[in-house]
Amino acid sequence: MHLIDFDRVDIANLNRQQYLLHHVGMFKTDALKEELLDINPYLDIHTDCIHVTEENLLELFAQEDIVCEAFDSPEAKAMLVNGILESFSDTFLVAASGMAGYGDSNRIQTRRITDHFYLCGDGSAEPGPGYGLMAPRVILCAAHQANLIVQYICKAQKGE
Amino acid sequence: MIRINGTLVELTEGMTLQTYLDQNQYQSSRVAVERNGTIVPRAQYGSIQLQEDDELEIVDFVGGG
Repeated sequence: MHLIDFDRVDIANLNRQQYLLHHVGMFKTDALKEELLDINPYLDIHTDCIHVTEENLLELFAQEDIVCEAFDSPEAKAMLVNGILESFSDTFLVAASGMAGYGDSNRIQTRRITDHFYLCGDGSAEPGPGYGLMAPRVILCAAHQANLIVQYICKAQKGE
Repeated sequence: MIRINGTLVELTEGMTLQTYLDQNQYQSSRVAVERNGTIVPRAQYGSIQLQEDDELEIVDFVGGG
């Protein structure tokens, strides 16, 4: 597992991201690695505390069969998706767009773009005043992404 | 006619992908475009001319994660 994030845990993340109070101030990669190893100490995790850019994308993702995008900025999402699809056509890519607020849960969907690129979310709900990122819908979207990846791995293992 | 995100759209002869994006209020820095199953590199948005029977998937990213 390869965790990539430049950021530190902020108190404003705690409402929806898998961090606890004592993680505030830590690099997200370090905090998440610590939590994952507390669940399964046999996990093989390496981390890169770095901003993903067009320049370092090729090197960062060259060895990855599966990429799960969880950025905040729409420009960063587009940059990563374009970079992965242009350079690594066999990589299985799952991105996310539209998960803010407390609207209809059933609008969070998984959309197949191609055999190797899927998009989860409702496609439109972005955070704004009075309509921020809240745990239930964010987690719904994350679950869509995670389940899709589990499906992909299990089908690959069965040779489907 | 071309198909964009599953919907048939009248094609203007010789229209580039960039022109289509601009006319439909897409921001180039926030999209990824697949044309006939292949990603269109961003550098080619201004040179790719849309053709009859093209199938486009335009992913328009919003913020939040």
